Amino acid sequence: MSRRRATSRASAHPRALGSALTNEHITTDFSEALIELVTPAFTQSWELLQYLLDLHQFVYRHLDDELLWATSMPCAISGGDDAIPLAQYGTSNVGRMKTIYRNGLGMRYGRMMQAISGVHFNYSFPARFWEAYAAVARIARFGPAVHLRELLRSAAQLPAFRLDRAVSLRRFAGGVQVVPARERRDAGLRELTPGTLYEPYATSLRMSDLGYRNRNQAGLSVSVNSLDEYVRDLSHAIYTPHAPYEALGVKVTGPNGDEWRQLNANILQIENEYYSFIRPKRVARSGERPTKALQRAGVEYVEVRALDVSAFDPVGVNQNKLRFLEAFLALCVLKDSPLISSSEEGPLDHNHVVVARRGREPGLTLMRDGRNVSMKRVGARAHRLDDRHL
Amino acid sequence: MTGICEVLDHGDPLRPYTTALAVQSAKLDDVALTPSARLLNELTSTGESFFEQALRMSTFHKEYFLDLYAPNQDRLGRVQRPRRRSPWSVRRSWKRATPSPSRPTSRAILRSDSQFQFLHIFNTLNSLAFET
Repeated sequence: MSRRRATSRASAHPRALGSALTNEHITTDFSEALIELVTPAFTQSWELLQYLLDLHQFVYRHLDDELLWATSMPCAISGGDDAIPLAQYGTSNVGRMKTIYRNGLGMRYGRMMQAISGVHFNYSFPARFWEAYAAVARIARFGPAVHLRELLRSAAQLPAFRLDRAVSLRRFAGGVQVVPARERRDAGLRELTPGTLYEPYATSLRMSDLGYRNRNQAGLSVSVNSLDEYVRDLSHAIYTPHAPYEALGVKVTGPNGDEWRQLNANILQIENEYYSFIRPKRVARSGERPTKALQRAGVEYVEVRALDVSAFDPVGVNQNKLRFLEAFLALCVLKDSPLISSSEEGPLDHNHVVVARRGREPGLTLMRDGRNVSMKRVGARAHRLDDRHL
Repeated sequence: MTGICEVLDHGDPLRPYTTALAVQSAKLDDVALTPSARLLNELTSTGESFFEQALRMSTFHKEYFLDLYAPNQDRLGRVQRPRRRSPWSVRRSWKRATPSPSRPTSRAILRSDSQFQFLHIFNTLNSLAFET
């Protein structure tokens, strides 16, 4: 999870928290002021929360007069993008690469958006589950190496998640309906109090078109119908030049020598630049690209990225949410999930944005199978599971 | 999801997963239960700005953590060490420093060979160059 370190000055990552480059559990996200807390793997949610509590206790004892911001959306950042310092990782090649990547993000999407924080929930089912599932679902091609590629397609976990995420978004959105930024006035937001703009029925502006999304990627289509398609589409994006980014310059020679502005001028600099709500992942070997790791050995776990930092929970998340997500991901695996056609992408994204910006609106309808259906009904149907799957 | 939650509850009389589902499902029927509604209600009742509200909650969180029982130094020591280890080795050392919960049911679940002992795997920064 990432949390903004609230400070009245643009200070560096506290030395007492260790090296952001090498500390496994405390690092930085986009900015020096964005702490990223990473837990190890656990089999029980209470262990995960205990570790998060440990991390927070440790961090707070080394923050002096600073705070960890309780919400996903930052505010009171005066000075615009220039007031948001890029995360620094030293002068090693990998360290410089990480900072250059962030500079590229800032140039492409603006640094203010990158200052939004959130919670990522990484999850996998044990190998024994997939063996049992393969037997029940009569999946013939299943080897002892447990390559999840075929299972991913069969289970269609990601398509099911995409179909249902709009409804789940309403449950977990961290109330990010207030955005105290002058530049948001042109987004049609209303003023609640001087300096505080909001959407009356929003559930999460972080997950809306005003938050951690960007129009530059609106035309980017990455299939989740199979691992091969996902890798194909993502690879196309990271290897295809994009004219507007070429115009920004990659390596520019100036009076102070060569300056790297971004890693490259492609649609995506690297795979992680793709703003998706859930990603198939595999722990990569040193120097291995995420797409290569997926091709090599299949999906190891999924990364759910749709959770706002909860201001009501000191560690930003609670056990009820984690347990619900476990059950929801299990539903996605077990539920019938037809492939998503290209014509369905638009309505799916539409539903997501609508729930993010107007999810609490009475009588709200979503697009489902070409018809407008009440959101409550969509939610009820999303959680049903055909008896034959149990 | 009710059936899935019943399986995940694994006979626990507290029915943690079923309870979690009920908590989240209630938000579909009553928007006032959503985090966004709760935050907005606080803003309108207190007259605070979003900045003031977030600052107040952030300050409360810091006070909460600093007022907690003394942190487990053994566990915190592992947080500080920068060397890279596999997620499983980190977990094993952390578990040695962490007592299991006292409830018998929880201990039974931890020891049981449940079909659904879910494995959480987090990135370990093995591929530093490609991590954000």
